[in-house]
Amino acid sequence: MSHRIIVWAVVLLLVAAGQEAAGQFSTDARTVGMGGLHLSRGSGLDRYNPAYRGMPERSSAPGSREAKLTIPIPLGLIDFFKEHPIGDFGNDPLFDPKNPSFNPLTTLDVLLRPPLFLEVKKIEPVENNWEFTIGKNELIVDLGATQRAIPADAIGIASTGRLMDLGFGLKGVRVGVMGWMRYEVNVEAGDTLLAFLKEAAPARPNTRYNLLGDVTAQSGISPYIGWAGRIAGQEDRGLFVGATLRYYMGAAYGTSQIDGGFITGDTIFSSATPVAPDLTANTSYSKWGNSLGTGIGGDVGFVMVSGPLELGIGFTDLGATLTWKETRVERTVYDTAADAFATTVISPQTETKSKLPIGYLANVTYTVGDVAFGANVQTVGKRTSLHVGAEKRFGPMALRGGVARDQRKKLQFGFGGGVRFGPVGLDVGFWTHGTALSDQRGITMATSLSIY
Amino acid sequence: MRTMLVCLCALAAASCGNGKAAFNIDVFSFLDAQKVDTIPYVAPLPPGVPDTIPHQQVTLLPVGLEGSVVDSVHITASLNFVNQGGTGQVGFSVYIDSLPNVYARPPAFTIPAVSVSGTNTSQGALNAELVASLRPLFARAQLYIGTRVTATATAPPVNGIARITGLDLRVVLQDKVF
Repeated sequence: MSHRIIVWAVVLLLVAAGQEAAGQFSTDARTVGMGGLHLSRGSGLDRYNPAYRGMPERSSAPGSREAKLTIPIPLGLIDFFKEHPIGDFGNDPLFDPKNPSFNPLTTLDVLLRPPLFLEVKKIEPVENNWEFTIGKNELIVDLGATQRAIPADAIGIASTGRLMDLGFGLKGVRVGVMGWMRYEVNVEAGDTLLAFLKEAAPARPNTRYNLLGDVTAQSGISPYIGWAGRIAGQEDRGLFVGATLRYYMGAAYGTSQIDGGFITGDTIFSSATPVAPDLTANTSYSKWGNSLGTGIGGDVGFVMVSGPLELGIGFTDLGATLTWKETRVERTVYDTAADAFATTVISPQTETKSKLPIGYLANVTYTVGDVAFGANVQTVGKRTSLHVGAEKRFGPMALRGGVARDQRKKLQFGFGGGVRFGPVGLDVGFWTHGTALSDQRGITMATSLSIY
Repeated sequence: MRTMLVCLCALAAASCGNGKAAFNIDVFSFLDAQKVDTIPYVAPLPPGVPDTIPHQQVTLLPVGLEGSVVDSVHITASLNFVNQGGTGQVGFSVYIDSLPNVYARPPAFTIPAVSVSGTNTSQGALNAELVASLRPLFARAQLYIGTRVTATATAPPVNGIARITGLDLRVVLQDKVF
């Protein structure tokens, strides 16, 4: 059982590590062409900076960059369905777990990164050989180039989502309710396991190999009241402020700290079961139906407009600490003798607290004539993304370029263009992307239609 | 170790690599640990005296890779035939099977017979590829190995000890973890 937990933790980590730079994957070819940067005031900016709620819409202005609707043109699906005919899904190894060629990782990758757009330059698969050296008391594993994909430090995936926002506003005041969810998964290989995997260190007898992990998830709603508006200057040269006070009502919460692995015996291959599983997990949770987790927090944001320059900074979930009054605390260990997990209740009902991390978004846009530049830095959970881009108009035509930093801290580039006929625009955007095993960059082409 | 190797396979598969897996197996270490690295020989062989070792279980990859394609299996072996008397020929064979009854099949590898005489020590060596029909055995999690020493006397009786000094397998396969 324990090996399944570890395997899936490792697999999820690697899949997460293989994701594109946050925001770079977009269904809008204009955004793709600028490396994931949004130049418009739409694009959900007001979710991360409440001051944008108090700013005037720009979509009615002539030559506006604000589209009312953007529809992706999924050219990549043509290739996909040519390779995977819909009528043959039942026999397709991509979808049929019983097929001998089924690889769940490939299927997961397709689900996480739907092939909407064309791969115009594919990354050549890397020839990566592994070498296993096995003896009665010896095991060495050399994973070759795969060692590069194994994180030396703790690695995690985390997200704070604002799932819905229902409300109404009047004269800058807005009242509503927002759904939220937060998850965070962190995993770190112990020193012995890390050396074994990353440095091809020989496995040692009587040694513990382990992964340390923690998982937290919580969700709920937050009724809120907020105000946003201009406090100085004019619309095109002024300071806008927004603030929202939230009352968090958590519906469910759970967190677990896991230390799991195995211990080798006196001799590496001494018997049919040469290792002893070893796992301890401390878990706290308040399930659906218990009393709500409650807390107070808020968002605040500022936008300064000075002619062609627009600067914004917004903070979310300031002070958002929730108190859960009916938390159950358990400790789970692997009982080697019984070959099963054993769970002990530490406390059937106690009070615990959880936090929503502060998120921030800083953005700048500078428009001069037909050229608009922009940049943003956003942190949501543990993920920080950086995007820089620009757009130049030539009558109905537009040229775009941008750069973003991906999860492996490598720069990736976007470029593209578009043409606009009155209220309809057709855009194409290209972005580069890489993998952990290769220094090559692939290029994907996105296409979309926008209605202005 | 099973957990460790399952993790390795998941890691490698998830990392989108495209390549092969090579397993260098020190079979001698398994034989040595069981004290079956030496086999006495005598010819003519008296009734009831075995010329084989008990079958030995060898762990390859605990997770098993039944869906994988084994590209090649190469064996390298070296022996000393420590003769104690007589003159003759001594040969050495390696048996491999998925079942413990390894001697039911023909040998997978054979060292050509070596001349022995007096109290001299003769050396035998093997450097060969496994026939294609037996390669799928190496996609299993474990298999069984046996060895046999065959002596023929020209000046009987001939007797001595065959001592294995090295027995290594190199298995290369196109992996298929899931």
